[in-house]
Amino acid sequence: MKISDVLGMSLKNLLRRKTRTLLTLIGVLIGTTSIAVMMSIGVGMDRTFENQLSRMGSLHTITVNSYYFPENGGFAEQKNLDDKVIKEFEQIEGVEAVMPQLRAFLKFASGRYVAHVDLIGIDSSKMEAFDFEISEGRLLNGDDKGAIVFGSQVPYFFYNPRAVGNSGMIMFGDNGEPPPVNVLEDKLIMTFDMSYGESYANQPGNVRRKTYKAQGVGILKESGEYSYSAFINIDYLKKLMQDNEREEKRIAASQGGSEGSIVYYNTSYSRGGSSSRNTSYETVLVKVTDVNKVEEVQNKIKEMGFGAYSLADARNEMKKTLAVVQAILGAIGAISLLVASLGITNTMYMSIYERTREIGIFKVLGCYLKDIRGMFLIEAALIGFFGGAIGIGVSYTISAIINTIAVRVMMDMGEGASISVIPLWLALAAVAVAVLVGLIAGYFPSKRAMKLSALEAIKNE
Amino acid sequence: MKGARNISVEKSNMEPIISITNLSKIYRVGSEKVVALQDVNMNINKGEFCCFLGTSGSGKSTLLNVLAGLEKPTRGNIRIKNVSIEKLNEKKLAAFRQDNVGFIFQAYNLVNYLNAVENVSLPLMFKGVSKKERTKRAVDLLKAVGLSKHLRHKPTQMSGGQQQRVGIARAFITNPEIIFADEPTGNLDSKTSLEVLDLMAGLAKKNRQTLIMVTHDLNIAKRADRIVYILDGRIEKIEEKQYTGVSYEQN
Repeated sequence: MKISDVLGMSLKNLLRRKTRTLLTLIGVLIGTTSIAVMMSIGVGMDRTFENQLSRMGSLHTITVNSYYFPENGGFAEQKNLDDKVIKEFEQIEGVEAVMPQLRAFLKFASGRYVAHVDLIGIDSSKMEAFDFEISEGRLLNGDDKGAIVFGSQVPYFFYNPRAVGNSGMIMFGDNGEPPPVNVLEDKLIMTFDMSYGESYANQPGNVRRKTYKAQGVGILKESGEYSYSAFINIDYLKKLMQDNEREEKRIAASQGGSEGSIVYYNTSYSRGGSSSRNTSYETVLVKVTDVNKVEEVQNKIKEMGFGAYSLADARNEMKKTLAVVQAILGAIGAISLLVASLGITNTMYMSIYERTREIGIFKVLGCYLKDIRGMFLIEAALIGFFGGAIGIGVSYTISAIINTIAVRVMMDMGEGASISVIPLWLALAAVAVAVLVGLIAGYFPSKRAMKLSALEAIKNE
Repeated sequence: MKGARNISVEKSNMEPIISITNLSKIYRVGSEKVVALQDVNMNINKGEFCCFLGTSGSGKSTLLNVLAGLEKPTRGNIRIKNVSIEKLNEKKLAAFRQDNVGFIFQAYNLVNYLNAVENVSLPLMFKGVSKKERTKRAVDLLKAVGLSKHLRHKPTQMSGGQQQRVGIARAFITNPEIIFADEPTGNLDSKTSLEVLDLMAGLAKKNRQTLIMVTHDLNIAKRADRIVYILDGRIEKIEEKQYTGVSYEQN
């Protein structure tokens, strides 16, 4: 038999029993829709997550710490992150750039306003490689000294410590008001003295410390990793820290044993500082060209005995969780498709029961068994196909409705985020699954049709 | 007239298309054995109109079914065109039927949701003949059996005689060498019966096709070239017309 004839006979039979076909088809439709809609929510979660992740920072970057926590527990190990190690990092295959960071916690002041700032010393020539993007002003130059580039949130850190009712709480984020200090134009100073500008600065025993000139040259674009810090040339920060260390020593010597008064020392983040010629860095950023190699490079760095962290870690963890969520959502949807498949099987058995005589005639007239099986399998598959195809259409509609309602209910979904997303692969897979379910559901009935005794079937009543 | 068994009808001018040797068919009903056919031996010649005559339960229908390969014999051998059909598997049997065999049934056995043309072209569809060609052949044959006005009628819109004409057309559509007819007139009145019989026998004679018919009606059987009387699963006797190969109308 020609395949077109097998298909034609199947279609003819489906159309002959319109009501039953339609009811069975609706079952498949509901099943496919429930799977597609459930899965679309999983996909939507995945998209939202990826979206958020990309706002948190670059997936290309690995943050290396001098501390390494063995994964099987135990004590933290510590190794020097010095220039020699950084050279080694640069040799690792796939590494595009390495940026050591020196960190210090300083107080910035402008007029009456002060702010606690996490100041990071970096190599200005590598800023572009690490996706520093300027929103106002410019990035750092190599010959900058007191020049500072601020993370987008840092200007909001400024507060007036003497204002009534101000507890010194830092307001993160933009509450609609412009920051109190224009960091690009207002005069700025910075100091290691944490008591600077505070009301308690005048208490007896508190030692005033040096202040340094600072010049805001740029504000970065909003980004997950750089928003809450300020950036300065690493060489200049080194100098500041050495200077501060000398001052600390001097103060400590002058105060003798009165330890109680040494309260507001800046516990410098830079271990080693000037004490050794070979500077050890707190953190080193490593950029990997290929996202898929991030994990590999990260593992190599870990093997060298350093702590290495990347968004890939969080991504992998989240992906695992999402996979479970998707599986559960899919399984919930699959239940109704399973029920639908029973519907198909039932319909096919009914059909065979009614058409016993016809099947017998076909056999006697020389119809091949495979063609008989084909007719019934295709019939079942067609129910699956049409149910699945219409179901996908319905799914897209439901998905759109969900998203419309979601946007109205929750305004803070973030731009472009959808709760329910049906990518093309999901649509095609859903139809394919529906056809497959039809074929499986039709398998045993078609086998039964094949095995029917022709003689029994055509017996005279 | 010859004895019930060991008949040899081979005449020099005849070639057997079917040879049956020591054919037995035994059914098991619970612990009981029912002998439907016992040691049947005979040849059927090409172009012959052969009729198995017997009462209900005589085994005549079983003989037809076994010859057609619808049932496997318990013992014995059936050679059709030198092929032992009891040894064929389902697939080969289907192919064999497509090429060599046509069927006419008592209850017509037309497919209700197909019209006359579609019913007649079914065997061609199973053979993989294109729709255009099989429709043309079916229309031609339906016209030849006098149903030119009923080409697109469904079986339920036709009388018994018309339905059986469709059945006959369906049996002849593949130009088979052998046509099996199981009580083809069983559901028809006597006038229609004769018309149908004439049609069937006429078509077979025209193309020198072998027609094998089963009936319990002696009047119908008399139209055949040879009547094989079946009783209790055995050939009781065989009656031959005087002039084999001559059309029955002339007798």
